[in-house]
Amino acid sequence: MKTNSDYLSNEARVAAARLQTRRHFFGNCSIGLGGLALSQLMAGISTAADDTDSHTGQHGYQKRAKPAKQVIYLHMAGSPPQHELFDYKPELEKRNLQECPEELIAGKKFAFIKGRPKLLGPVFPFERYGKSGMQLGKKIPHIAAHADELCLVKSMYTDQFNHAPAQLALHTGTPQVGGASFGSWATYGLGSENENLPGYMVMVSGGNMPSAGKNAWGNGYLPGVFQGVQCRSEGDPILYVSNPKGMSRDIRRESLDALNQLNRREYELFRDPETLTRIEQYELAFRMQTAVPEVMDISKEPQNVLEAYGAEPGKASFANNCLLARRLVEQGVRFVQLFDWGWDIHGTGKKDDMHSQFVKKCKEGDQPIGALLADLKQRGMLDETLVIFGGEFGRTPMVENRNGKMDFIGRDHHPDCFSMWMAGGGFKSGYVHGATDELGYKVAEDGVSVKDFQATVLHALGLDPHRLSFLTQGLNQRLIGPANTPQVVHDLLT
Amino acid sequence: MKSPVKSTFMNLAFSIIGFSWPRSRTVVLTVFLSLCFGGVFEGRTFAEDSVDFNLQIRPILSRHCISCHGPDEGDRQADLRLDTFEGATDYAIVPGDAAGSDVIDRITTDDDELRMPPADHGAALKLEEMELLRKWIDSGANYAVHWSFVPPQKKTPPEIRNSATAVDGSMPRVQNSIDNFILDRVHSAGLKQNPAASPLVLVRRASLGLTGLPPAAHAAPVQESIGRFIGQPTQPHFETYVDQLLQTPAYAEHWASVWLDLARYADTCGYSGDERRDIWPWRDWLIRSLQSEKSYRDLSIEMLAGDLLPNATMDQKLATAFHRNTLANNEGGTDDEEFRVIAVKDRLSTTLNAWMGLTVRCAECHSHKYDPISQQEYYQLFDFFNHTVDADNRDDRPKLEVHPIRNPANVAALEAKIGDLQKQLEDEPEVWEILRPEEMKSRNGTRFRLLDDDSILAFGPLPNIEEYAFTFEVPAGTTIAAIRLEALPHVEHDGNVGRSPEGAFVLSQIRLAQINDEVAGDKKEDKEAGAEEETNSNEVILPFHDAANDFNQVNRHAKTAIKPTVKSGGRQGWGVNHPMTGYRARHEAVFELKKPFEAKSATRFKVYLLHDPPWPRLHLGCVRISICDVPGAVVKYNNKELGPIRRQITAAVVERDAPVRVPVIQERQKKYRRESFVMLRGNFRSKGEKVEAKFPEAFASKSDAFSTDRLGLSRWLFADDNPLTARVAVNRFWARLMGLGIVETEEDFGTQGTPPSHPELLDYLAVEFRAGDWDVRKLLKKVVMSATWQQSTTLSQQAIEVDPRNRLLSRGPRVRLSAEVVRDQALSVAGLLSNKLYGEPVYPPNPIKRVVNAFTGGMTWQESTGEDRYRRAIYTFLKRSAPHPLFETFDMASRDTCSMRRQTTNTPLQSFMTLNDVTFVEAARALAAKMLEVGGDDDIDDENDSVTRLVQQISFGLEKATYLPAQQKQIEVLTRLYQSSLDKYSTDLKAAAEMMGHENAKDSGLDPEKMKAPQRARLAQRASMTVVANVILNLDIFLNN
Repeated sequence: MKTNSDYLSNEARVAAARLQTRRHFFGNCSIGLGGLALSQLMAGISTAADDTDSHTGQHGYQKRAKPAKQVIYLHMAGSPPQHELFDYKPELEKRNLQECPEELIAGKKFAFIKGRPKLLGPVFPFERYGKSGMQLGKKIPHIAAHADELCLVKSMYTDQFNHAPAQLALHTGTPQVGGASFGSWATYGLGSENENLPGYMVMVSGGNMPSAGKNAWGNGYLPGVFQGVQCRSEGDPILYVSNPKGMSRDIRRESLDALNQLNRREYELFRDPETLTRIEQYELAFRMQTAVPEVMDISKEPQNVLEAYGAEPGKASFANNCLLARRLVEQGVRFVQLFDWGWDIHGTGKKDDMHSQFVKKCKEGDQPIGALLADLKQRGMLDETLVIFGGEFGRTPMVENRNGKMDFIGRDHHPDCFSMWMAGGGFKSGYVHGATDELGYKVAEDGVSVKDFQATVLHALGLDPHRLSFLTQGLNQRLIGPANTPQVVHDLLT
Repeated sequence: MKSPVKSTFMNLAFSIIGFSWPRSRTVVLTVFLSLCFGGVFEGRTFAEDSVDFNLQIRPILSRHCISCHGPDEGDRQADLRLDTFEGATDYAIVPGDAAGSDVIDRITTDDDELRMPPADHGAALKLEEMELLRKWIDSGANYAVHWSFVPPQKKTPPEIRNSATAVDGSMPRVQNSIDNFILDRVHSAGLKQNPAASPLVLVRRASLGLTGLPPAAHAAPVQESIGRFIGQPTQPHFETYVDQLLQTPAYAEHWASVWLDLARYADTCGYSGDERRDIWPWRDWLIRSLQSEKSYRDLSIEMLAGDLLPNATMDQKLATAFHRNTLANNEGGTDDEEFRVIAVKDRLSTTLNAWMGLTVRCAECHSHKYDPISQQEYYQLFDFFNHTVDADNRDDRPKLEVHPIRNPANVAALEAKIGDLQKQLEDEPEVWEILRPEEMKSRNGTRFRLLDDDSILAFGPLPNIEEYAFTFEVPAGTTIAAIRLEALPHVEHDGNVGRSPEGAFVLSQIRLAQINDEVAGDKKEDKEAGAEEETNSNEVILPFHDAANDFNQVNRHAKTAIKPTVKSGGRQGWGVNHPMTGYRARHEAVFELKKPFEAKSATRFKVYLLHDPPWPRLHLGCVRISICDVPGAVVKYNNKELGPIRRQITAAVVERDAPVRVPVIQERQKKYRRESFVMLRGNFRSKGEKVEAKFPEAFASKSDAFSTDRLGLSRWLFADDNPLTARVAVNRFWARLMGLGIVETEEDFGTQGTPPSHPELLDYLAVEFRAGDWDVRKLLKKVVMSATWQQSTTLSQQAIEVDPRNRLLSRGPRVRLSAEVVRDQALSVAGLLSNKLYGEPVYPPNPIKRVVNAFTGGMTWQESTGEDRYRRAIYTFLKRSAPHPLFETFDMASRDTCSMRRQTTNTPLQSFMTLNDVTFVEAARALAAKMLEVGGDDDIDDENDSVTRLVQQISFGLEKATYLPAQQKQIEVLTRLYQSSLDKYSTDLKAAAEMMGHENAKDSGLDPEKMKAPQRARLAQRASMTVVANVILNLDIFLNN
């Protein structure tokens, strides 16, 4: 890593100081360890020699033989309706537009449904796909073509039914702001494999931020370096990765050489190890200046790949983001988080109607996701790359009908059951887990809570969800929360 | 990708403070072992045979045992608690007999089934830890109250004896009692005090540390004292300088940042919508208060309970906005009570955290696992905060109408403008006649109030869709050629023009109808004139044929509101989201009739204003309607020929007088007091036992009785025997100046926090702070006047090994500048920084131009111009969902929850900011321009002279930035860079022009191709010097203090 041998000779001495700095980080910024510094320190050191994961508290965790190395998380913000896509309910179809049974709604609170709503059968047909015969909605044929790769969980549930809190609960483990997100935990636990790119990158499509905003990829109490870096579709993909206009790469190189010389002189005067680190960070920035635009430039992809994804260089789209996701994991980025806005199918108007908006979103999302799966598979990357698809909660089996006119069709938010699927990364393929009741109203078998899901994904990455923690404000913070009830769902994994 | 990640905990790119694993672990281990067991831990020496419970035993118990055998009765295993003597000695520990104590058996056994802690809870104890426990039990297993829960006692500073004199014979400098405490420990660790930093270094250190600005930023009197101190570097001279710094407004602005982190201050309200929230007058109150003589105590009490003080002043009420910086969730379908409760809990945890360094959030669900706060006590504390009026309403009520401090220069300019306009007005005929409505009705329940100026204020119910109908009468002979609709901002709607929570409106359609009692007779004629009859009424529609407006947002021109029929939920209509003023400015639209209407007799007519866009509740807030008889009004209006002066006067008056409504804390009336319950598992719907406000037992004041309301609580924080408040405050101020707190975990003084590095010093300062009437300036001054703070920062070989993190302060502090100071210093050095105080947030350049939040539409970052581009960072608009990236990258707190200290990272993304951010590039250009002015403007032919001048110029830049004399080596390096850049830019003038920001050189007369030779040379020089200045503004020394 060292770029200059001048100070290698100092390493031993400086290393001590920097280890202190690191301990400062994990000891003090991980607010609260300090009181235990002695034992913590010893634990850290003794295991450091034989266990590279010691800093995450991963003492002796029985890792999976072949853990997933990378994640592409496709979050459909707003939450797609499972009754049209993943959870076919013949009984619901039969009772289409009949009154909802009283017992289902007694004492329940919905975000928008008031009074006694009507049931709504699947608005679009289902079909069996693949050797597994998995039933999937016909609106997503490209995804369905990979049915035999999917691990479909029909029995997800959460306890939040508003978008922002539900997204936060799913991605950061708490419905309130301030938690550390999935990708932050993954990079905190595993680091990154490409030293010229951030380990955790985020892309947003659909014209809107997800409801939880940037908190959905926030680092929370974890150090700032674990925050998701948002790649932008306009301007610099990473803020200010480009030199100012008129400054050539040559001049930048020369000015960094000058800067490094002056900073090294500074180090020689004051011996602050942070000064050396700063020199390294500027060098790294310089390398990123070429690495980032390169990986973000999809125009070099062959035409057939662009067509398969439906990607168009220079455009901002979910399709482009899917292709970029593949390029990023190919470069060793640990966690790629995509948010696609527009799946909140309430049916209050054309903009969130089942027949217009939902069909449009399926069209935009299906092909690129299908292409992504095919691409990863073809490149032999699917084993090590976990692809996750889902929303933040489910939708009701009842029609929402907010304006009472039934001129548009949609479903309300529903936390009690929803579907997600995983592909690759050591998850079972062509497998359906759990079931909902005959109306698709609540979980009937093998419920998987959001926290179980988090535990399972961390486990799939070779991390111990119960141990992966960070002590802050007197609490041992974990993605899965303070209680020990969340469990790894081993049934989902090979 | 293929090879397993070996030593990467995080690759260097994103390393924390740049840490990468050392190659040779053995070396490190050795260093460490000697460090830890050489008898010095955090610089503390322990006697060989005695055991200190708080420092040695509690950490072991806390780490390994207490989470299952602690105060949390709900989760306690084996009915054993090890956090109290009684609990521990019930059966597990036999005092004085380690060998006979179960605890020792269970931790030392080889049997995995029996060993504590269980394997799935953590690793076995270290041998050293077991040994300590044995020794402790053998010596009686004495427990002690956690150090910070015992009130601080005044300590006598240790004497510094001559024996401590350094080897070279120099006497240690003791400038105040801080030095006694520090030197005592420095010496016992075998270290010695560093020499004093040079006077120039001290001048910069004090200025950045106390005011967040470089020394040159201050006014003439300060410069004079700097001069005196440099000329004769004595402590009295330094003291004068420090006293002056502490009186500058910059001091107040700088320290306000610390409070803003505690207050989780932002200019928006968070969650999905992240709507704008006008709470900046509170920020101004804070700055004013810090500038005043108000004590830490009074400031705190006002923030927590200003509204409850007897005869509370406006300012004291405004102070309570501190706790209205909590997030509000306006997402559709949310339960307001749920988010009200979250806000109340946040106030509770913020209060205990910010003032007492206690972390209580875990007690929300179960009793604290480590500290003495039970779940019941948590909800008793909750009750203190549970009786305020606010309830997560969309409009953020209750609010206090505040007349903010406006910049006097701005007000004066506006006054002058109004005066001028009024003089011109005499020549301008009044074209508009304001109408006073006879009747004001709404279709869906909105109510109206007629104001003195004949404007109509909407209030009351806020239905999704609404149509207003106002009836007017005009006398015979009146001609109506056009009507004008004014959309007026009103405080009732938070100073906005619309009624939606964001303040928006969309006028879907405007219709004018003549009320005709004799419809039958005129019907035919009117039809021919283009009028249409409204079905089943005696109203005849008078259609419009064109419209104009002073402003409309994209696709929302007033013209789209004149169609005779509109579809419900259609997207047309007049809307005014202005990129700078949002919905807060007055706007007007003019609607011209197809055919002027001439009233033959007194005629009544109605103006219908329909609000039915795809989004609900977007209704006009306050309107006024006028008519005019000028034909072709729309064309004239667009040509600014229709009453232009009045228009400008109105706008200026509004700008001058507008009050701001600030959300504040207000107590509910007694009869509406809420009931508080223990919330099972923290769930607001699962009510447990009913509770009432009560102070937690472990911290109950023995000296005083306090009322059980917020005022009582805020006074209890400052009770004489409160063990924490003074320590926490002192520690915070210390940490900002020294880089690390005496208690490093500033936010956790509980048993999980770090023990203090200098407990006696902390107590000494805490007692002094309290006795000295909580005077922050006095405290800060004491720190900076100490020899400790004034040491040089040079790290000696010995100190690297013994005190690598400077916990002992054997050298001066070296602190990475905070996000705000990183920017402010660069702007100041470049001569760009504005010293304007207070006011609405500003929008400096930001690479993120537009943020689109879920459900509430987008916000465009409309860059401020002129001075507002370069205000201090504290005035930058802070949108929670999209904070300015420069600040975020430099570790500013997220402001979503209370933050007691910021983490300092060192990342390549920071390098991108200081190298390439527009603000930094502009600063580099400005600094370069100043550098090039050195040595005069003349062309020099003599090469020697020109080299001399270049040296002067580069030295000037370096000195300006670092406040130190430029060194030969620095000058050489930068001169080479300059020359090399000059070679390149001289042959690529287009690049030079771009570097100078002349992106449209061709249009602006700055086209290098049209320049004469000297101008071209000048351009290349400026670009090259900008490259040099860019390096200077990135120096490590520049980013550190």
